[in-house]
Amino acid sequence: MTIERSSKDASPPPNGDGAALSAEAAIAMHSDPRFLQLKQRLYRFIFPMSIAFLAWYLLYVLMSAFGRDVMGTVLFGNVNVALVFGVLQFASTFGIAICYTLYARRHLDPAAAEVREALREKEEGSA
Amino acid sequence: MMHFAQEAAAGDGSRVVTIILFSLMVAATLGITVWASRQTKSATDFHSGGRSFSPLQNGLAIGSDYMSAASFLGIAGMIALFGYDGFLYSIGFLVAWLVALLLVAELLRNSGRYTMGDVLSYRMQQRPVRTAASISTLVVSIFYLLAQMVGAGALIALLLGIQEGQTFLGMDAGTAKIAGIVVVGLLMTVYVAFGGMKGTTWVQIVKAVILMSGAALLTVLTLALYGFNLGALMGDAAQASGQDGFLEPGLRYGVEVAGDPLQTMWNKLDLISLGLALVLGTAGLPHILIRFYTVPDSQSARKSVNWGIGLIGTFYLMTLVLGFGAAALVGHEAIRAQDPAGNTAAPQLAQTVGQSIGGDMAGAVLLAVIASAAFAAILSTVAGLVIASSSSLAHDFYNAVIRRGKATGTEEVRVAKIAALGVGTVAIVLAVFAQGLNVAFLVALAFAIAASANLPTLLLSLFWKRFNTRGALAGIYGGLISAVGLVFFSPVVSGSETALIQGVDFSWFPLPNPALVSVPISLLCAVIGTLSSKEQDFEKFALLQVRALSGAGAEKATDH
Repeated sequence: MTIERSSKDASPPPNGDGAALSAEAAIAMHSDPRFLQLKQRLYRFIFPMSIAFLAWYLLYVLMSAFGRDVMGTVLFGNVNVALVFGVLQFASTFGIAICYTLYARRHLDPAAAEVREALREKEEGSA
Repeated sequence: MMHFAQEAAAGDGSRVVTIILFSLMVAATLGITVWASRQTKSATDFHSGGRSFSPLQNGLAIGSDYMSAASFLGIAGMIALFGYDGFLYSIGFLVAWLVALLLVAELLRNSGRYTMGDVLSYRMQQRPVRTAASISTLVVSIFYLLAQMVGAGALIALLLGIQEGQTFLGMDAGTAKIAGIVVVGLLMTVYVAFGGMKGTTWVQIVKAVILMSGAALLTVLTLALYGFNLGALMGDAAQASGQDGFLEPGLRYGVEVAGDPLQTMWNKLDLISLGLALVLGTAGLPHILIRFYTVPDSQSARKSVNWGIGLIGTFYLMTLVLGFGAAALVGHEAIRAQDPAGNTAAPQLAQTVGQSIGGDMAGAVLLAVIASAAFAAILSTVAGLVIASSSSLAHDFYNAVIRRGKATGTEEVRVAKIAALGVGTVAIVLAVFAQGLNVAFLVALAFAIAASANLPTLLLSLFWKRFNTRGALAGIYGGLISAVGLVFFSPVVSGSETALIQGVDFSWFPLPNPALVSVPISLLCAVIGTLSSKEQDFEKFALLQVRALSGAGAEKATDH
C-alpha cells in the first residue's frame, strides 16, 4: 500500500483560492534564490531562538523541581531567586517577542514581498 | 473579618448587584450575537469572521480564549493556597506563546483556510488526515469544554452565594450547579450557531475588556492597601499562610515526600511533565489556532499574537498580586471554607478589599464586578471551543471526508450550525455527569493531548520535506492514544486517594501528567510512520512552503 503521489485521493484539497498561486510557479519558486533567502532568514531566527527559549524555560522548570535550595535563596526582603527567575521568564518572553517582530519587519516581510511580487510577475507574464 | 460565606448568603445586596450585572452581560452578548448573525453571510464569515478583525481586536480575543475562568480563578486560587506554585503554572502558560509566535501563527495563517486540519492535510491524503485532525480537535476541545463547564456550574452557584443546604429561587446548591451548566451551555451554543466567528470574537473582545479592567481595579486596590509595596504583601501572605516555603516552589507540584524517595522522584518528574504540556500545548489548541485565520494577513497574525502576549503576561502578573492578596487578606481558612480548591479566592478578595476601603456596600459591588468578570470569562472561552469543534466537524469531516470537498459554503455553514448544537448538547450532558471531576486536571489533560497529538504533526507538516500521510496519522493517533491511555493508567483514574474510580487499582503509570512520555511517543510514531511509507510529495511540500513563508495565494479577507 505504497503511494507515490497523493493523486489516488479523489478529493482535491479544499484549501486555496486557486487563482493566486499556480503549482508550477510555486514549485519553480521553491528553489529560486529569492525564496531560499527568505527561508534561510526565517529558519536562522526561529530555530535557534526556539531552542534557546525552550532550554531557558526547561532550566527554570528543572530548577523548580531539583534546585530548591538555590531557588529558595533570599536575595533581599521577601524576594528570592525563584521569584526573580520567574519574572525573568516573563521578561524574556516579552523580549523575544519584540526581537522577533523587529527582525521580521526588517528581514522577513521585505523578502516575502519580493517573493510574492516575483510570483505575480510570472503569473502575468504567462497569462 | 466577616466570613465570606455568611456574608454572601446574608448580604442579598451583593447577590442583587451580581444578578443585575450577569443579566446585563447576557443581554449585551446576545445583542452582539443578533448583530453578528446579520453580518454573517459566507462560510468565511462564519468560520473566520470574514478575516477582517484588526490585530488589537484579535489580540483581545486571543487573550479572552486563553484567560478562561479556570486560569483566572484557578491560578489566583492556586497562588492563594500554595503560593509560588500557582505562579509556575502561569509562566508555562505564557512562555508557550513563543512557540505559537515563532513557529506556528504566521505559517498557519498563510497556508490554511478555516481549521487546523487544513494545514495538517495540505500535502497529505485529505480524507484520513482530516478525519484524524477532526477527532483530535474534538477530543481536546471536549476535555477543555468539560473543564470550563464543570467549573462554571460550581462557580455560578458560589458566585450567587448558594451554599449547601440553602435554597435560592427554589434551587438548592446541587440544582443551581446543574442550572449553571445548562445556562452556560445554551448561551455558548446560541453565540456560535447564530453569531459564528464574528459573534464569538466580539463576545470575547467585550469579555477581555471587562476581565482586564476588573482584575486591574482589584490589583490596584489590593496594592494600595499595602502602600504599593509588593514585598510587604508577599511577606504578609507567607505569614498568614502559616506554611514554610510559601514563596518557593514545591507546595503543590514536585512535592517532596519525606522517607519516600521514589514518590518524591515521580512527583518531580510530574512537575516537569506538566511544564512540558503547558509550554507545548498552547500552539496545538484548535480554538487558539483558528484565531489566526480571523485577521487579513500573516503580519496581522503576528501583531495579534504580540497583543495577546502583552495582555496575557500583564494579566498573569496581576493574578500574582490577587493570589498573594487573597492569602494575606482573606486567609486560607476562609478560602478553603468557601471552596476547597481555592477557586473563589479572587471574588473573596474583592469583597474583603471593597469592605476595607468603602464598607459593606463597596464590598458587595466589587464582589459583583469580579464575579461578573469571571462569568464573562466562562462564557467567552466555551464559545471559542464550540466554534473550533463545529468548524472542524463541518469543514474537515463533513465537507472533505463525507462530501469529498464538493460541499458549498452555504452547506458547510448549515452543517457547522447543526454541529454547534450537537457539540453544545453533548457538552451539557457530559458536564452534568462529570461534575465530580477536578477542573485543573481536565485543563492539564487538554494541554497534554494538544501537545502530543497536534503540535508535533503540525510542525513536521510545515518543516519536514519527507513527512507523509502515514506519518501524520501515526503522529496524531499515537499522541492522542498515548496521552489519554497513560492518564487512564495513572493515579488520577485509580489507585490513589483522589482517584476518579475508587476501590480498584489498575494504575501502573506513576505520573498524573502524561506529556513527558506521550510527546516523544507521538514524535517517534510520526517519524517511524513516515519512513515506513514510500509516499512522498515534494511538489506539494514546495507549494505549502512557498505559500506559508511568502503568503502568496493565502486566503484574503472578505469585503463587505
